[in-house]
Amino acid sequence: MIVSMKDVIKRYDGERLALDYLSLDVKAGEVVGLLGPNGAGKTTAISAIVGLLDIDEGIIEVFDKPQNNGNLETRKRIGLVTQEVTVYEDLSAYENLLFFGKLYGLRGERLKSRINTVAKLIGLEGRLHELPKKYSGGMKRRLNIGCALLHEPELIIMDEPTVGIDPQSRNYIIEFVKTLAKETDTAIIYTSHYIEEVEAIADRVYIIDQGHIIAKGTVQSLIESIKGDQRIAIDVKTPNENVLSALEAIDDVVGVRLENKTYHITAAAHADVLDKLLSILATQTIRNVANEQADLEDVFLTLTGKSLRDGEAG
Amino acid sequence: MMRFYLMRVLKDYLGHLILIGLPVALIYLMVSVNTEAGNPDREAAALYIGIVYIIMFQAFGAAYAFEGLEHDFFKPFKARLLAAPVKPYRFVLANIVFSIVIGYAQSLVLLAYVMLVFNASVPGLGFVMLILLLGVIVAQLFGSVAVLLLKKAAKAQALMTLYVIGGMLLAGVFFPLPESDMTIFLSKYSSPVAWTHYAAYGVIEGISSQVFVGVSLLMSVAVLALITVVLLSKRVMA
Repeated sequence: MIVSMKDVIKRYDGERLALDYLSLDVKAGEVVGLLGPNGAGKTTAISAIVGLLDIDEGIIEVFDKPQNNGNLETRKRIGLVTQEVTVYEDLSAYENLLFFGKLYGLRGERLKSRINTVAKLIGLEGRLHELPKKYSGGMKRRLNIGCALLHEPELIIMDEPTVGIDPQSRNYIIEFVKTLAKETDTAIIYTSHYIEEVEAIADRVYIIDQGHIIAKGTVQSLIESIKGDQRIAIDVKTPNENVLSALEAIDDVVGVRLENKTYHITAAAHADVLDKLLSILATQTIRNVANEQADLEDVFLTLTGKSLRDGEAG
Repeated sequence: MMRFYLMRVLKDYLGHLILIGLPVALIYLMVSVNTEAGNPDREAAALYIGIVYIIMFQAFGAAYAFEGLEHDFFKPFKARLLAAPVKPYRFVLANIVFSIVIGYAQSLVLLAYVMLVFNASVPGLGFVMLILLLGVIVAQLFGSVAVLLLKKAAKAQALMTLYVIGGMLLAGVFFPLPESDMTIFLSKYSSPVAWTHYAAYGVIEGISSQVFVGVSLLMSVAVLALITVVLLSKRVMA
């Protein structure tokens, strides 16, 4: 086992519960998605795995050894891609890679060879001698990832690696992670609150909320677990957030979210709710009504009654 | 890793401009004003003014330590560095050591400027250089303590500015204070800035007791500041 967390509890300031009996495991060669809204405990969980913070209770083993924050040998085998871009903006990309490579014990020809390999992987081979402050957001993100790959870690932890970048760069990173997972035996923990990313790359998914794992399994098994419910999408001309509570109050409605101009409603199977929904939304000029395929967002909504994208950071 | 930290401070071109260019201009201006005012001993005036500005800008140069430490430990960088298989104290040490190296190099450039441009001779040059090294060490350690306590480079900068200006005024090096037992005491002992000046002028004027007292005070406060940095670093890393 690469990572094993059992009933981990972490409190900040002795009170606020950040991890609440959290358990998860990661095997060699698998991509595990850690999905949750802002403040769910994703970053705390990965900080605990890396050994950056002490836990209050529970057990964490990494590479079958107890994890603690003085364990330097374990750290040599982990690559951490931080949520914020953490590269030195006043040093060239090459110098950044050189620095992080050396931190992980690479030297001489091996270091140069790894820098070349990683530069190709992240698509920056022609621009290594430029300063990151001249890069686009997506290029900085790729360099941020590259700095964590130089030492060929057996476990890569990516904490929201696509936050704040354009769709093209995001796709590049997703494809890159898929390739990395396919071509190596590296275990990857990928945290995100972007469902489509996790759906695209994860072999298994843990859904975390308020520091607790509320569901786990493959994407397909999680979606099938709520398949009994019906999902209705109602597209309107002038959406109004004020009616959300009225929609939620309808008997048999499990969850409601508003995205752009579309209400996504999850209701119990066979429940006759459409007339009630339409009567509440009648003043908003309904343009379309459709049945939807379930996705992980629906899983989360069904389990917690709230949307994954309540807020956009953390 | 150490080479990288040196490279990082060397690439702070704006810092070099401020910490070398500005005192060079100020020394030139003040010596010119002094000469215009009829002071016949231009070399001695240049040496006095030069030492004052070297000590003052050593303290402003503490910015190297607090900006480096803020970047590494009070911004998102902390997680990335602490996740590396390196003992955390090495990052603190690298920041402080190379801040001292670059700060000292700047002091020597200014001393060389005073000696070459104004023909000022420095009696006991080697000892003066050692005292200036002690001054840099104390300044960078003070800067480190300031940022580790206040957690923001901007706040540390404000504190250091108050310390430098206050220290120099109390030491009476900008302009003479009304002579009294109190002002004489303050000019010698009010702050590490005053101690550095007191010790350096002890060497220049050949007063060994003055050198001994100044150096002893500087070394004591350097040890105390170092212990404080170690303790505060442990708290920051936790």
